[in-house]
Amino acid sequence: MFFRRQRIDRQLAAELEFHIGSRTRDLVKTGVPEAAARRRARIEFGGTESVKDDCRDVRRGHLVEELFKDLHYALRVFRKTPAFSLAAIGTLALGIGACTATFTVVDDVVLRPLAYPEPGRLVKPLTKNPPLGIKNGPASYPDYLDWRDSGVFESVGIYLTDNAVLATGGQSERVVVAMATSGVFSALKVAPLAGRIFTVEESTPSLTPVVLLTERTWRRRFDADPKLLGGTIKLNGLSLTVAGILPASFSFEGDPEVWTTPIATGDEAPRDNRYWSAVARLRAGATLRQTGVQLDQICRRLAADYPASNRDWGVDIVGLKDDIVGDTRAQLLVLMGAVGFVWLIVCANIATLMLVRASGRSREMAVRAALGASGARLVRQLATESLLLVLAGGAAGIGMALAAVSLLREYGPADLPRLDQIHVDAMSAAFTLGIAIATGLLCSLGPVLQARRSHPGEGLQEGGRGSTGGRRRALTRATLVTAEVALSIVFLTGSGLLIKSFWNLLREDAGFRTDHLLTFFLSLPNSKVMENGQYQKVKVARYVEAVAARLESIPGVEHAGLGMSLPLGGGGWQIWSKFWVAGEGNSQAGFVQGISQSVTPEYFAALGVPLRSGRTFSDRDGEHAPLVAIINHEFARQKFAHRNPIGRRIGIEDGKETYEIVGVVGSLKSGGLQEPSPPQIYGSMAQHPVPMLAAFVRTAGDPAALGRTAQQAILGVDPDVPAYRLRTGDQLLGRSLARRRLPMTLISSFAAIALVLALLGLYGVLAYGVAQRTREIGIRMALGAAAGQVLAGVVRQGMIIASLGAIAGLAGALAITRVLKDALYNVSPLDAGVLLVAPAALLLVALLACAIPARRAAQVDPVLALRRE
Amino acid sequence: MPSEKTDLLQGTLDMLILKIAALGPIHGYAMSQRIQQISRDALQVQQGSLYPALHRLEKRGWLKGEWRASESGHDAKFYALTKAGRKQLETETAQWERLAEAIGLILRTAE
Repeated sequence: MFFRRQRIDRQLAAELEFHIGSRTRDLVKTGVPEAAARRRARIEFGGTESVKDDCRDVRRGHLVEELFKDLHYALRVFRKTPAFSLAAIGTLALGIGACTATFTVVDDVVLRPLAYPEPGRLVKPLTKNPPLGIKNGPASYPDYLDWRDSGVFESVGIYLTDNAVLATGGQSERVVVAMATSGVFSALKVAPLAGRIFTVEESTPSLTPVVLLTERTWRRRFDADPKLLGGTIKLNGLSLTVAGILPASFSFEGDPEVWTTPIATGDEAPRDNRYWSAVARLRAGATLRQTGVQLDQICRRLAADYPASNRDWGVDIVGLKDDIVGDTRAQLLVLMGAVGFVWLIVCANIATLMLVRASGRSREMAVRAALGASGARLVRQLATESLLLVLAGGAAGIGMALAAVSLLREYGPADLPRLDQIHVDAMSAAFTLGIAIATGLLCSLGPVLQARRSHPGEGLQEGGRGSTGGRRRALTRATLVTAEVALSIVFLTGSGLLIKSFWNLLREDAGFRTDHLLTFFLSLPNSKVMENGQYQKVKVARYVEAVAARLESIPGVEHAGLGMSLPLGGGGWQIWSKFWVAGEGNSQAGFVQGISQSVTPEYFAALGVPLRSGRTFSDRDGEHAPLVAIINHEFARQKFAHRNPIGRRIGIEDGKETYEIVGVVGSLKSGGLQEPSPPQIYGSMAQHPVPMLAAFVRTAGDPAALGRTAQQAILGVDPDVPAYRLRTGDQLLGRSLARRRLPMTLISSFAAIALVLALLGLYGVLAYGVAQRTREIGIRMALGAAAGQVLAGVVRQGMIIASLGAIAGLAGALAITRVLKDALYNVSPLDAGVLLVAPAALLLVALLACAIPARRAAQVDPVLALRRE
Repeated sequence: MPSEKTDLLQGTLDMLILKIAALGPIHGYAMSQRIQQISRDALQVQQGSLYPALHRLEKRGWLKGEWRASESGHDAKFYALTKAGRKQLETETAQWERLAEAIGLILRTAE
């Protein structure tokens, strides 16, 4: 093609040269001197280069070359109007960035199916006990055996995620470990990368478990040593045989590195020891409902056979995906909707920008058309410009999306499912590209239609005289801006509601002091606490005592206490039991449902839970001392109302022993901040020592700085029992708020983007209107209009647009904020304050957006304006 | 659509070119002189618009360009009318005559 072009150029030059040569020769024949003749011939001919250009133009029609020319021209236009180009590219980048990031998250978390064969048949059986208010609960080992043997499922397995110390080389590290039966793998249909999966026989709890390693662990921790198969690894001090390696594609909740067959603890047999999670595969062709009915029958039979442990217990089955995604789905879909809105605003804004600019260029277009550019040519030129803008905006937008996604991976809520797997992939990029091009075409449509409609004569005139013409176009622009304002009101309202909820949540008292607090878990392995099937109570009590003492001896530690679970849903052991008050009869009605746990004397001081009345535990409340308990304020409120609970005695479930209430402490939020504090009962750790511990250290300085020292201190007590999941109280609070913080932050950012875009649109339309009407304004002022009147006129125009938008937006908000209901806390979706403040705030900033063009209009000098042309 | 006026002018020039080429292969310079002669200098065709028109007609297949020696001995590009060009010329001439007749009629009636 290039050579062809060269040849054409050479011929063209020769052709024109022949023309000039012939003319020169003719002139010489008439007696003109050679040099003068040549000069005259050249002057007569005019610019040879422009003629060549025109010839090439008609010849060529090569799309590619024309495209380059269009691009070249478009770039020149962009350079000449940097403000417009930057505004357009910035707007697009924001829109495309927000869209891609959100689409990526939604795609990775919600839309993408699980990476197992036929994921639709994977379910989770979750136990429930309506009278006790238990839902989504775990299962017991014997119940699981009944499910398995009933044949309700094609396969079912149980598992338990925990952590254990894995020894590799000279190092020991706490890794996530899952204990599972073979059914888990047959349900998920996982084939081993090497070796074999557990057998059914191996899946019976035993003291000689075998293990599976994930491919990643095998590679990273053991250098993919093939000899490891059939060899052993050391887990929690036990030597376990490696049966196989799981494939790299295998992933599971919590990402366990090591899988073991169930290890016998001796507590599998009781049916009310419910602590296993279950996963199952439905039989081919079976529905959730059918399986649920069959499972209900089994549950009823079990309840009849074992009333003590199984009465009122049932099972819900939910799709595995629904279980993993959980209630984030609704949130994510709301986000998706929000992004759609932002996208609409972006489109409206770009269209407005393009329209404004196209009108400003109508004179240029008219001149070009008059000079012979065809309609199609102009349309192509405009489309090229739009697409170029859109692609530049798209590239910037993808950059923003990448940044946003990596930020989310880093700082997003840890409980967002599969957070670590979120990444911008080809699919999302293609989605973005599609959207970008669609926008480009959509947004260039307006100007293109205008260009096609415009008549050169009209265009030249309008540009020349600057009258109020183009009323219809002005109306289109005003409508677009009104829509933008309306959409941003919807956003402002939504984000206002979420912010108010968050604010309400922040004001909730967690019941403990989150500052200067370090927390972590400790767990004594069974090998340390069980001897000959006997729980070594004294040994555990001594260990707990030693840990508390060791922690308190660290400089900078004010108090160190131990309990069983972290507040704010931070994990650990929360045991719900029924309590009754001695002397009131243990009838069903008298029960109080509450969480019980064993704590050390310093627990309350370390956590910062205030004592309301009575006393906390002390060294007096030892193993042989009278049994004592402390209740929280909520328990006292529910059970004792206006009476003094101190000195009263309470009992647990069917137990005969009673505990004397010695103190009442403040209520602690055991779950989320938005949930009410449940009744809580504390027992003395010395009287009921437990091996699963949550430690609380109140520090004088930065708690995070003490982490290492605390870990060393714990290893000093027992080198085989490391501290794990170290978190500060503020991290705990942050984690608890994260689920609400993310949508709030996102919606608020969207609202901010929407607001800025709407204001830009408003400003653009007004400023453009003023620029177009400079002459008219000049005439008015020459005829006696005061500057104030002109100013008021522009402001009025802007405020009419803003007000109409606000009214429409408010109507939209009333209809739409209802979807946020679940995300709100102590705020009605129709909160009057928010519904008033959002439009008021918008109108206020809209006033600012009007002010600049209005001022400019008021400053028009009639003399200059009239003389301008 | 952009002005009918330019389209009309363009069409007229195209027709002129085709008409002249119908008399036999001719190069650009001779063409420009011929237009001037025929129209008795009433139509001043800018060389600037002649060459693009020639190239456009060549591209449409109505003219065929060929390089050969001119009467002065220099190599020149001669344009000859093609079959398609002849047909086009006939259509355009017919159209033009109809238009001219119509305009003439209007002008006469208006007098």
